[in-house]
Amino acid sequence: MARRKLILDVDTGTDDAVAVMYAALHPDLELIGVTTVNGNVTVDHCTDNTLRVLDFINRGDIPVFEGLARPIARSDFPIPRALKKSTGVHGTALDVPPATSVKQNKHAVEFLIETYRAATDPIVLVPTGPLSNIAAAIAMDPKFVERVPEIVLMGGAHHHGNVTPSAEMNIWADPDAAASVFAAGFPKLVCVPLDATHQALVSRQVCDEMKALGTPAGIAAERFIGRRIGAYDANQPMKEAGAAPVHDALCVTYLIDPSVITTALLHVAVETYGALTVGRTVVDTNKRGAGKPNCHFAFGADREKFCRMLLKTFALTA
Amino acid sequence: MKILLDCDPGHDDAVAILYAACHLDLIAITTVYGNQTVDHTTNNALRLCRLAQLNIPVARGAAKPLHGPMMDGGIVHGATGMDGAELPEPDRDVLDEHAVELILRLARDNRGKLLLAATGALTNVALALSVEPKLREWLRGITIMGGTTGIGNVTPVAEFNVFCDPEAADIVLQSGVPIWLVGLDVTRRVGVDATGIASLRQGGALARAIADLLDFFLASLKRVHGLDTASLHDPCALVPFIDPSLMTYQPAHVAVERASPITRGMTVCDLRRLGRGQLGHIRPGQTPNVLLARDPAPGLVPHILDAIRRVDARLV
Repeated sequence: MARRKLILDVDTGTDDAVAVMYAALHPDLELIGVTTVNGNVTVDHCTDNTLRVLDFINRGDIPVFEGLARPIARSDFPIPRALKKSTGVHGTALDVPPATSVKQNKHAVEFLIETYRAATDPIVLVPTGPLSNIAAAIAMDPKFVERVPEIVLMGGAHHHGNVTPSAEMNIWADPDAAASVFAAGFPKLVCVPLDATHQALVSRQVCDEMKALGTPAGIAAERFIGRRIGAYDANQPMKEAGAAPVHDALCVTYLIDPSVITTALLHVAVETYGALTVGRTVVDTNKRGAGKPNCHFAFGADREKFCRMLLKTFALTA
Repeated sequence: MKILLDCDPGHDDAVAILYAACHLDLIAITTVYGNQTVDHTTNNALRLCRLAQLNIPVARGAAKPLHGPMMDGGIVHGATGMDGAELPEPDRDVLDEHAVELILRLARDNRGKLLLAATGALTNVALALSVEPKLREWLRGITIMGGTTGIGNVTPVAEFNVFCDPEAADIVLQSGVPIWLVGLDVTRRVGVDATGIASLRQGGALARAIADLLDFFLASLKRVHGLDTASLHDPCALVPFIDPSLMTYQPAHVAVERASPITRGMTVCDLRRLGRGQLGHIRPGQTPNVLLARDPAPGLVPHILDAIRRVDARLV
């Protein structure tokens, strides 16, 4: 079977880092490039962290392209970054050695547009950060939407948010970009929100199994997810202690086994105005609106399957 | 100095294209939605280039703003965006490159030498600044027709180009690039009356076509805004680079209101004269980020009409 091609658009970030490792190491995936965007940390750190992770697992050959340093329409997040309380989930630099690889000169948005313009095989686009780069590509290339056969993104929330009561971080951080992506009409849009990722918790025990693999990916995953578990336990407790969601990685495992999440095809739009609700994914679960279904929205996840998939892939070395 | 004109032709944009072609090294035209859809404004740019025999590359740009719904200037500019004259069908196509890509490529290739003139919604320029942060170092400057220090034309306080995409306008104004800004409060004072328009009819096909366009534009502005001259908004942005004696500019801090439903798209221009020392309750001013146009000279309208005649006279 031909390997499935993908591009990751990330704001690395501890959970992005786990997603990057999965995509870079899985034998059935071909990660043709990684683009970075302002989000969990400023974009220069997102880029540096992505390079660090790829180098650490000996995949420094995968090109990294830096993208937008701020939201597409706003000068800053809805609440300026300086005022937002850090939860300690990500830190600034990831706990792996500095990279020797360097980013590409080409800008992320140019890479996205040119790659899809020239593509002959389907390439899945997997954004796991704010959607600024994708919205810029839509604005700059009228054919971009039809050229991207499938988007699998991490973002949004239906039952409850994380950065505000109603909104999840990735969508909240650039609501105008997210609104543009959900309304664009991509042939297939899969959304992996908090409703799914909060069901796919990785426990301390699974972390220990990752470390015991002895591989670079296993060692790094234990560090990144271990940091997450500490921060979640302290600031954002999940239904059980000693476990944390690894949001972005769930997106990538979906490419290998779609049954890792359960989805419903519904209309989803993004709120861009509300003082209390900016960045909320408005999911028409009861089909009360006029909007046609545009999104496979994940309400559930198979935790055991997800953890097994991570362990199996992180046993591999490049 | 080389100039790239980002515009939404548009009757007054057409005049700006000719004004630039007459006096400046106009190396490219990029288009944006606004006075009409981007398909129309692009088609209009190509038609005008053919009629005026301008061998200038044209790249199509953004079709909608960064946020929110698209404005439609058809009430003033008609169903094509340049109603009123019969212009020839385009004799060539746009570039394969998007407007934003062309802006970035030409700015990179002409570092420190390229002036960006923007006479439509600022969506393309904002996208270019976001996609390539180095653009702010590469550009010689950005000169803009947009905003107002007083009366608006879309709302009581907001001018059309800025109202089209307030988020983009603010990104451009706060970019740190040297900016010249001429607003509606000034360009409404740069209007050509029916007699001035009629004087163009003594010229050739191009001058007569521009007269037809300006007749339509004047009739629209009379009907919609009660004006008795056709405002030559967009060519005003080029004046500092053609003949600085024809327009005065002063430093000012300008920001765009984006949140308020009443004043969204307003350019908030700080024209206060603040003394030194204790300000008490008075909010301090911010460092000026633009040169803001204040007064046009009486000779400006004839100077712009003369450029139309000169381009017309050189046609073969």
